[in-house]
Formats: sequence, structure tokens, C-alpha cells
Amino acid sequence: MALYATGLNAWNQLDFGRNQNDQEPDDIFTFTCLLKDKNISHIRPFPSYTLVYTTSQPLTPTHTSGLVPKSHQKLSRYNPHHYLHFAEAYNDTVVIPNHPTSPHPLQYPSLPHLLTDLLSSPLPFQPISYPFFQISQLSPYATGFIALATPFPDPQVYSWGDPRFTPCLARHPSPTSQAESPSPIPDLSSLPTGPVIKISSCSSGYLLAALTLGNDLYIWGHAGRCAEWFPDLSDRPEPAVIGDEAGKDIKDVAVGQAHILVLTIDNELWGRGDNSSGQLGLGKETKAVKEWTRLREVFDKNGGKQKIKGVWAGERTSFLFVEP
Amino acid sequence: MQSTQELVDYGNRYVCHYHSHLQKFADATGRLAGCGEPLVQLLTRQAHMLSTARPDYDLAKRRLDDILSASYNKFYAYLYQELPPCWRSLYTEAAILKFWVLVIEWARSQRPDMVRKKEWEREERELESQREAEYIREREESIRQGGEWPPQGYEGQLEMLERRNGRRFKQRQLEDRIEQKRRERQWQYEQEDKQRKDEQGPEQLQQKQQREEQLLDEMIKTLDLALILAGGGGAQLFINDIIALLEKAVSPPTKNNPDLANSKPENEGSEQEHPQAAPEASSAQPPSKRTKLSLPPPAKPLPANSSTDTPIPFTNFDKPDIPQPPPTKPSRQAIQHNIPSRLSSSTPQYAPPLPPPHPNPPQPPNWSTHPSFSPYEPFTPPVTSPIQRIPSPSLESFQSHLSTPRPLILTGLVSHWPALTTSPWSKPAYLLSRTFSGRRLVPVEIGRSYVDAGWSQKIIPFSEFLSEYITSPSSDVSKGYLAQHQLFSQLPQLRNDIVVPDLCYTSPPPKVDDEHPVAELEEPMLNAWLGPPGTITPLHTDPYHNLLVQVVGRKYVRLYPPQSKVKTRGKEGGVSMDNTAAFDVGVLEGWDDQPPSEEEEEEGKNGEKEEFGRLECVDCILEPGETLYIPEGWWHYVRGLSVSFSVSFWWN
Repeated sequence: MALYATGLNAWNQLDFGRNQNDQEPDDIFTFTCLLKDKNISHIRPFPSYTLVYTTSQPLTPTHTSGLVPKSHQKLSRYNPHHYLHFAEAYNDTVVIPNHPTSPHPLQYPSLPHLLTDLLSSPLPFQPISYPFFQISQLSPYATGFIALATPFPDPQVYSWGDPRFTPCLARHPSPTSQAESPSPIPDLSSLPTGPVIKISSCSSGYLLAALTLGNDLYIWGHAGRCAEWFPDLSDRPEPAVIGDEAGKDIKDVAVGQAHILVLTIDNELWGRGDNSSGQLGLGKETKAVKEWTRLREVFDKNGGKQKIKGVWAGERTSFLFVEP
Repeated sequence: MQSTQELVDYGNRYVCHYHSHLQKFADATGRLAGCGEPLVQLLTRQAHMLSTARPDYDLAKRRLDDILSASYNKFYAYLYQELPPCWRSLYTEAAILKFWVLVIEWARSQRPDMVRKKEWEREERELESQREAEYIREREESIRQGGEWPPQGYEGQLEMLERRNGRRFKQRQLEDRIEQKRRERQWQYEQEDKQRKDEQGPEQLQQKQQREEQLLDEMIKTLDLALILAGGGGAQLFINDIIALLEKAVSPPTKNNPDLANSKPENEGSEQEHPQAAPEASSAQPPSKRTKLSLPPPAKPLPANSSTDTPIPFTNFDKPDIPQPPPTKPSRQAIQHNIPSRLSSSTPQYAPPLPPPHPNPPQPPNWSTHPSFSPYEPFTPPVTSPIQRIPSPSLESFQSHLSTPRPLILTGLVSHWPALTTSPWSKPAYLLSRTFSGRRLVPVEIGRSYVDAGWSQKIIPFSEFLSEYITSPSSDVSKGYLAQHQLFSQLPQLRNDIVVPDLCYTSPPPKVDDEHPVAELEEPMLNAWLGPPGTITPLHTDPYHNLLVQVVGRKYVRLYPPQSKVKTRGKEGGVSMDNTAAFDVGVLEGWDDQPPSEEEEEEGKNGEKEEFGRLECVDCILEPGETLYIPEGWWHYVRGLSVSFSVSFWWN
């Protein structure tokens, strides 16, 4: 398996120790192979660093690149479990989902608050606790969170966050379902192609996406904050039509700060949005694409032998696993 | 000529000074600590790269843009009042660095010879510093090996001799290297010149000028956005000082005589006019010695420890020789509150001292021949219960008035203001002359009133604001209003045209309402309001006492006492609109049409109209030179009748 990536490289987060020197690292503007390792299982792209996990060692990253902020280092030391699952929004709010010692998701105003809590007893900060649901996927956006939660019988997509950005919540806050506390997104339940199985958003973005079991992709967000790239973005989840008129079936999706990567069932890579740091791999000259655009046709030219297994996106980066 | 040189020199000094400051104090001051190590490190790396001889300007600019966009994104993610101040500092400091990158780009286009000379000086120093480093390494090696320095005895002398020969050899090698580099550069410059000569058609010249104009706009935009969006991050006055340096470098005589610069050597005399304030200028070689890119006399060896704590030794040359003040640790509040009192020394701790201002030669022009704003009033509402007018109260009588406050018009309070006399704000030409020929940016509210749908804000050059919205607006364009903007901290040159009335230093009785506690203002808060006829500020209250001074044009103001039963708007889009009335005075009085978004809600409006009609109010038309006192908590509706420019002073 090979890891390909493109985009912002200000902290060498796309450089796994091969050619680091004193020079100021430039961004990478086309998909480039960073790493080959047949056991790669998944990656976690943070704004200034990247972690690569392998199947043999699912709890600790096998490869690390870039600069890990001290607060993240501390969290990984104090509580490796939290470090594996925490989500940090751009307004610094942090949520840790359910875990063995605390069955409820907890929310802190910032990572330092959480770190202080982990070190002292009694707790100096009372985190907000959400006792009513089990989070299976959690994703931060700039001013809030979305979560895939599993109350029976069906998984539901919940959203909560700053009421100034209701379009990201995809629901109308009311006294009974306030913006700041998790409530289900009505438009994402009982969908024609089955329940949502994956959610994606970026910790500093206002663009959100959900993928259903039946390979439909829904996107929504705050049009005002994405106007340059997604001027027609709706504040309600709407199916994305990509490729042809009927819309191709989607296998995987990854959302960055202002770009989105989509992998179709027939192994095509599509993208849209900001490319000013090369995050779509479209070269240095293309600053953005405002329509769905087919990316990286090189993989197809190799006789279709190389299959893209999955896509990930950081703030201003994109990653692919390619097989063989 | 010389002012371009001064600008570029100061820019180089700034970058080096700033870099060493970041290295020494970034953690200690904590000014930027809250932004996390990745961004602070990225900023430090850019400062470092820009202080080397041949930085990759394009990459540095992109990286600084990355930092600007990361901090700008924080401005949105947080409520304005909850944003940690470090993000404003980070935005501002990245913007200032980007400004210097643009200055170099601009100066290279204007005066390639000058920028090359600067670059060569740096490169030469870098090469020389390698020799210093070698000498120091040699000495440290010897000491590490247990030897004395200098080595003693016969053998020692022999060793020194050998070393000296070795050193001489190395020095010759270095000289050769410098000479070789010099030739390389000269060849490169010749090629560039040849190319430029080939491209010197009128079209290319026009393109060059266009490019320079764009760069100029970008420079000002970079800094003005830092002032408007980030509040200047505690460096407003400093930013204005460097814009003033730029304005001097751009001023017309400089632009029109490019030949003069090439034929005349540097004016050394004027540089000696102020040697005490710019020590680094006097310690540097006189510019004429370097014009031929000749090797300067060998520099003195650096002190032994300097190789360890200054990774780029040549910064020592660029840094002023004055000793560094110990790093003080101002609290965040101190930084914020310092802003108004910083008038005397505007330079933040991370910047080197600014070059002294030149004596102001130009006589203030006679503005009387320039046209004024049009006095045209499309609509004048009737005044139903006029507010009392008095000439100008004494401090004592005004203080006693504050205990049972009522609105009051003061007719003689500001008649002496320059803005009304020698620096006429009624003349567009004067305002343009104070805003870098209208290049400075201002925030403008677009739309009839801030409660209407489709209302927005944008930041545009002042000249564009004047022409698009005030002097010759086309009829289909919505209204643009420069409203509630702290214009005078952004443009201190206009601040000198007005005087804060003494009445703002009275102390009103403490507020009774504890529900929304308001911090005490240390200084009166100044806001500017400039717009075309028909701008509207909907009925609202402010948590401060207010003196609204009408400088240009006329405004209608209507006020309701605080205890009036005014229906408020509540929470909208997560933002509390408690201080704004649900009543639209203009619509209910029949002066304005119903805004399109609300037409469906016609029922219930009649009841509202009746309820509204029963409320008691006072009103007035404020004439130029008059001041309206609006007591804290009074509801007020303000409507521009002609082109209007007012200043409000809030205090408590």
C-alpha cells in the first residue's frame, strides 16, 4: 500500500523523514508518494502534523511527520485513549467521546482545560456531559461538532455548536433543541439509500458531508464562509451529483477546510474547492475549482491496476491509499 | 529617492530586529503563546528567512498568507469579545512582515540598483560571517583540547604562525569566493538590465507602473486590514508610522524623477542631520563606499559567545548598537489599555526605533477653492417636539445636568475644530489628501439599515467609497455608510482635526442596570459616521453617554426616554439584538417603504403603529457645528438628510 499526498507542507507534515533539511519546506502541488508500507490502516491529518497507523499497531502511530504541538503531546501521554478519539474545533472547544471510565461524551472549552482536568482531582472544570447517546463517529467543524450516534434502531447524525452558524447545524435551533446541545439532523434520517455510515468535516471549516450506506453523498454548510468555492452551498444536507447526470455512487469522502475529496465506486477521484496550497493536487497555477473536477487521472492510466482504497483530508492537505 | 531608501533600510532593520526579538522573547512575553507553537514557529521561520541574504520572497509571502488566514479564521470562530488577544497580535505581526516583503518587491521594480546594493551588502556579510565563525571555531577547538589561547612558548609561537598562514590562506580563499560571487551577481544584474532595456516600450512601462500601483494597493490593504480586522494588535500607531514612511517614499516628486536618483550619489548630508536617533545608520558604511560592490574592510571579530546565540551573525550589523531593554512582561490588559496612552512612543518592543520624521515642509494648501460635498436633501422630515438648544455649558453645569439627564443641543461646543475650519472635512479633496490619496481602506455598511435582509459590510478604498456612494452614486446601488468605525485610531492624521470635548471627562452617575454590566472606559470612545443622504441607524440604545457632533451636512435624530415601552428584537442568529427596537421609525412614519423581506407580516403592523404612536419622543435636525448630547439608555433613531459626516464620543 502506498500513501500519496498533496497540499500544505509548512511544518513538513507531508515529509516522512526523507529529505528534511534547514530549508523552508514548500508545499506539494501534485499527489506524491510519501510512504510505502503494506500494513497501513489509517491516517490522522492534523493541521501541523500527520500520523500514520498500521494494522499491526492500531493504537500508536507508526509514522509521524511534522510538528506535534505540546498540548497534543501531553494529551497522548496523559491519556492515550482520549488522544485517539478527541475532536478539537477551531473555537478551541474539545469533545471526547464515550470511553470505558466515562460512558458519556464530555465537552471542554479548550484542550488546556481538559489537560488540567486529567491531572487534578477534584476536577477544577466541570465539563459539559451529554449522557444520552453513544458516539461512534465524531467530527469537529470550526464552531461545533457533528457526530454519528447510535440510539437504536438507527444511527442518527447529531450536530451542535455556535448558534451564529446555524447552517452548519443543518437544523433550526429551538428552546427544546438548542444549538449548543446535540440534536439529530432531521434531513439525515430515513434517507432513500439507507442510514449514514460516514461523516466528514474539518476542524477549521464550515463545510460538512455525510455518506449513506447506499453510496449517496450529502453536503451542507455555511455558504457565506465558503462562498469562494461553494457559492451554492445549502444549509440543509443536499445530495451531491458528481460525474454524470444521475450522479456516481460514492465510496468515500474527505472534507478539508475549504476542499472536498470524493472517491467513487468505480475508483474515480473527484474534488472541488480551494487549491491555493495544492490541496487538490491540481498544480501551482490553479487556485481553486468551483465545479466537481476529476482528479489525478494518472491512476487510471496505469491500466486500472492501481486502486485507491481510501481518501483523507487535513486542513489544507489530501491523502490517498493506493494499492498495490 | 532618499525616502525609498529610508523605507527599505528601515524594513531590513525591522525584519532582523523582529527575528531576533522572536527568538529571544517569543516564549517569555507570551504575546503569541496562545496561538500554539506551530504558528509561532512558522512566523519565526519566515522572519528568519527574510533576514537572510536571498530569501524566497514568494514562499515567504505564501506562508505569511497562511498565517493571516489561520488567524483571520479565528476571528470568525470566536465571538468578537471572546477572541484571545494573541490572535490579533499574530495577525498584525504577520501582516507587517508581509508588508515588508511587498515593499522590497515594489522597491525592486522602482529602484533595482538600490535593492541590489542592499542584497549584496547582506550577502557579503553572510560570507564574511562564515570567516568569523571559522576563526571562533578554531579558537574554541584549541581551548577544548586543553590548550591556551593564544598558545604560549616557542612551539606555541610556531603554531600561531602556522595558524596565521592557514588563516591567511583561508582569508584569501574567502576573498576569492566573495569576488566570484560579486562577478556572478554583476553578470546576473547585467542580464536583467539588458532584458529590461529590451522591454522598455511604452507598453511595458505602463505595465510596470500598473504593477507598482497594484503592489502599493496591496501594501496598504495588508496593513489596513490589520488595523480594521485585528484592531492593529496593539500596534496601530506604529502601523500608521510605517504607512507614513511609505507615503513619503511614494510622494509625487520621487516618482517623477527617476533619472535624478541614478545620476546623483546618495545625499550623505541629510543622513547626518539626525545621527543620534539612528545609530545603526551612522555605524554602517557610508553608502557611497559600497556603490561599486567593493569588499569592505574586514570586520572586527565577534565576541566569543556570539556564535552560539546568534545563528545569523550578520544581524549584529543591522541591529542598533543600543543595549536591549530587559524584556518586560505586560499583562494582556495592559497591552489593550495602553493603546490610547501610547501616543508618545508608538514603536512596539519588537520593532527597532523609527527614523525621525522630517520637518514638515509643505504649506497647508488653501482648500477654499476645492468643491464641497453637495448639500442636497432629497427628504426632510418635520420636527415635532424640538430639543432645547444652548450655546455651550460650563463643566459644572453639565455635570449637574447629568444627574437628571435629558437630550440637549450644544451649538457652540466645537466651532474651533480644524475639521470645521482650516482642515475642512466638507471637501472631498481634503479627505483624500489625508487618506493616502484615497488608498486607505475603510469598512462600509451596505444596505438601508443593519436590521434589513441583504445588509452587508465590505472593506474598500476610501476613494472608492467616496465616488461610489457619496459624490456620484448611481441610483441602482444600495446605500453605503461608513458607520461606527474607529476611524481615528486607524487614521490618526484625521484625529488631529478634532478635539475631544472636555464634557466627556465628566463622571455621570453610576448605571442602575446591573443586567448588562459595562466596563468603564478609560478614554472616550470615538466613532466616525460618514454617508450619503438617507442613511439610517435604526432605533437603538447604547450603554454609554454620547456626544454626537455634526461636522458636515444635516442629520435628523429622534429620541425616546429609557423607560419608554419600546419593543426589542431579541436574539437573531445567535446574536443578541436586545438594544435594537422592533419598530422601524421610517416605515411607521411613512417616510420609507416597507423593506421587501417583511411585507408578508402586514397584519399586526397596525397595532404596532398605534402602540408606537402613543410613545412620547423628542427630535431635532442637527446642523453642522452642533453637538447633540444623548444620555445613556435613551433610544435614538438617526437619519442622514444630506451627505453627512459626524463624530460620536462615548463615555461613562
